[in-house]
Amino acid sequence: MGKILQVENLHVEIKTELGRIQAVRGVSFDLDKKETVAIVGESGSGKTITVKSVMQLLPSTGSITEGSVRLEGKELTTLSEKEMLKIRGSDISMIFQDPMTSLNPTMTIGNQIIEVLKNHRKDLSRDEMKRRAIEIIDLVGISNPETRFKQYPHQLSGGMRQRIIIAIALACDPKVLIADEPTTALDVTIQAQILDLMKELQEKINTSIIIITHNLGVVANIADRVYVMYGGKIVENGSVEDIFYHPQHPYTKGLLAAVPKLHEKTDKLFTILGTPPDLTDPPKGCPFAARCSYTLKVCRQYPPSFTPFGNHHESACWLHDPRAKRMINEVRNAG
Amino acid sequence: MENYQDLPLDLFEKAEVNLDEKEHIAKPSLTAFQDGWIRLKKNKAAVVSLFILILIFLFAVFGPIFSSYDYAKTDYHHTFQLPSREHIFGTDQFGRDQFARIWYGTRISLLIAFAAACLDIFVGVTYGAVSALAGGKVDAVMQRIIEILVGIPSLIIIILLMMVMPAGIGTIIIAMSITGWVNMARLVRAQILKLKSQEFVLAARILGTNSRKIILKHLIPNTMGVIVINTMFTIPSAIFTEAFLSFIGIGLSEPRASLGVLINNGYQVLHNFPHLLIYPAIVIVLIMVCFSILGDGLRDALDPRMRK
Amino acid sequence: MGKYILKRILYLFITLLIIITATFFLMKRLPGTPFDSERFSQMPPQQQKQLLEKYGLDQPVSVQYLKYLNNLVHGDLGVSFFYTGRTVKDVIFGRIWPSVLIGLQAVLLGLAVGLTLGIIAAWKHNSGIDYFTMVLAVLGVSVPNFVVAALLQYYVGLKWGILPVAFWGTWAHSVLPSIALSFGATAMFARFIRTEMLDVLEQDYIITARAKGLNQFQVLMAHAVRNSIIPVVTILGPIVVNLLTGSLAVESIFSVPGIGSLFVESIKSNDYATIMGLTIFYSAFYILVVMIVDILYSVIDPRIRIQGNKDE
Repeated sequence: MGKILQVENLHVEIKTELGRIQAVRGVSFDLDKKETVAIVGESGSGKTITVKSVMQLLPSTGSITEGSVRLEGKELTTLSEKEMLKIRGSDISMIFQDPMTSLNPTMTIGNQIIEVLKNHRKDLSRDEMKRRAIEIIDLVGISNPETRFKQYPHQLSGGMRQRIIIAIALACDPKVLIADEPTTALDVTIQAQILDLMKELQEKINTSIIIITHNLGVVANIADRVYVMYGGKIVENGSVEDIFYHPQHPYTKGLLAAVPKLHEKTDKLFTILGTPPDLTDPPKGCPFAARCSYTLKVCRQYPPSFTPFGNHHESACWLHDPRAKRMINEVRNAG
Repeated sequence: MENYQDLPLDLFEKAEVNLDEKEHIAKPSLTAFQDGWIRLKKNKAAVVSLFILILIFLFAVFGPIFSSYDYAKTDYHHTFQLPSREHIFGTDQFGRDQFARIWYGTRISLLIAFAAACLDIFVGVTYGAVSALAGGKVDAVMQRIIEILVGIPSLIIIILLMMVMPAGIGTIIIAMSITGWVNMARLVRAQILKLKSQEFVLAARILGTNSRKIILKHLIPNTMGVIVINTMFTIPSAIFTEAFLSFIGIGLSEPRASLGVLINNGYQVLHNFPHLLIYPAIVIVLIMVCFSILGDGLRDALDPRMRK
Repeated sequence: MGKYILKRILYLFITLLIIITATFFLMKRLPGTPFDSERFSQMPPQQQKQLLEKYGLDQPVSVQYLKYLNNLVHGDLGVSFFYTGRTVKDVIFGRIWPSVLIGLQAVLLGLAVGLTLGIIAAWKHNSGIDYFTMVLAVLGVSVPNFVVAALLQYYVGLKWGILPVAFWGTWAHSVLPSIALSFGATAMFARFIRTEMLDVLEQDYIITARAKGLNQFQVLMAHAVRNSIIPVVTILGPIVVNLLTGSLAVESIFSVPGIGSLFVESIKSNDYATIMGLTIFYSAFYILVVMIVDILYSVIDPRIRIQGNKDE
């Protein structure tokens, strides 16, 4: 069993002025060694909150109400903050969406890398830390590492800053790297470079990656498996091939249909009508029921459970239920 | 997990879908001011402050009328009286009723502050708007003038003016306004410049809306917030300046009363009769605190950039 | 950068010249002569003329103005009309040290108390200490400093007898004036850094720092405080104004022989030369501080430093 990270039945609530948001409602997923898993969904689907709770970096108003997160079998949700500090940045590290704001503007690049080493590699001397920092700046493909070491973030381009953020995240050879929309804020040409860099470094340091994105192109480029999230729940998961070529859930189908295709001439873009559900008062049944084109009465009342489609591909939708198929056939026959 | 095996079959019929429901917009649309007002109402401290200010305002206007004493009438048989049923706040060294004097003084202080604020608005908004709308060389020259004026420590200039001009309420108002409008002018100019470059004004222009309409429909309503907020801070600062001038002895003079004159008076006899200082001090502090809280509340409510 | 500094220095001189000019002509418009009017009018005309000549008051205003400017350039602020025979410069410098001491103590006290309170308040947002700081911040800018001074003097000095009520002598005499003067500055510092910190704590790089495995204290000191303290430099201008004006009232109340009380006395005794001298002195000081603050800020903050370079 090479499972490096296992998340089971995770529930997260966030307190706001408008009420308690049930941001994550029973999410389970796992990650193999050296595997790259993508969590896909639109904004507000709870994907960022899910990975932040893995790191236990939820805002002070948020809390895990149920579920477990295990790193190599070790439960993280019950760890004290002090024990968690040893894991963050060392066993699990995280990179964020916007490289322009994710680095401290008043601290040199070098010091921001050394800061991680100081916390997790106490065996290193000050000089060794500096050498290691320069080495890793070089590793993420930035030229003149010695000069960059002394520079401030604003002296670097967005793409270079994201490389530095990756350098910080990988400084202690983490087992799991969580990347929250790592390419969204970058130019398209730079996006590919960053993804290539992540793949290359994954090979070098044997890390597993969770990548969060709403960009299916990124998924196709980097991921082995995909989890599709909607309304705080996982609605479908499977290998990249399964998700792209045999999607089962209406939401996944909608997402794929919404990607404009180069070879098809059309004047219309397909969109999924409506907005995601209000998670302060989440729908009783399927979260997608309100926007789905195939909604059944049952969808609004009962949450669907997963139906397996072989080879770790499963989808949570009432349409997969044999009774639904029977009804559809009946209607078709009657019509 | 619940057992869904025995769900009735008719649940698996196609549900009716209301397309409007999908495109439902959750919030009714509100104008900036309605929106701001709703936000302000949620801020309890600001509402309480507004209420106290209205109360003080009413006392300042009607207080002296209800009092049976005249603010300037001396009574040498009843000097330095402690608060009693006869004189709610006691009497001063000339036997004048403190209650009547405090509310009269509040009235004068508020009058000076409001008048100064109005002058600030008039001069500042005009200057800022002209500067921003004219642009080019006019704007450049006007900005250089502002840059020099902000460098001048205003209170020193006010003191000088107070010495040169004949003592009186008008002098204080003018002296404070001579330096006071600069801030307003800068804020208004910045706001208009910001608006001018924004898409909706550009859109209005492209659609052929004339300049007058753009100014009336877009620029003025969207600059109101800045003006209101800034006024909420100039009023207490004017009240403070007046009190300060009177306290160091170059503001209003006896028998006229303002909160500053009263505090100065009270300070002279503080060692024996602290109530003569404390009551007017409480009024001035209340006014300043309430304006400060209300100003903060308004800024949070009206200024979308400050919203978290 | 050099160009920017030059521009600022040019502005400094223009502003000063305007202030000097305005002050000079305003003073000329003051009613009466600077001399004791009764004694002056009883003098024989010959003596009157001599006295006017002595102070150069017989010449046309424009000549007097140019002379005054010329003297200023040479560091001469004229002769005090009140302290007979002493130059304004001597009078001012004779009384400057108590003001400097009180001013410095007030700034340091304000910085120490204000920043500490503000930082803790932001860190423990919505806690008891946060509310306390907010109340203090509102009171600090709302209670006029002369009221604070009067109340401190009455309670701490007079009623409880803990510290000297007034006058100057030992260090103990400077404590109450310093506290009274620092009240507003403390509130301004606390309020500013609190807002600044709350903003910084929401920034992405704070969560990056936490994701590195830094503990709360490390995040606070190395990232949050560091980034929120830099902009504090920008409120030093308003703080200086607050202290300068505050010193007029506070020094008068505590009978501190400083330049604040000197200013008030000069106003009351119509000592024009001293008023002018102090006006120019105060203005120059204020303008200089604002200029230094602006330049300092562009040097400290690397984000701004680069923009400054690009301007060249």
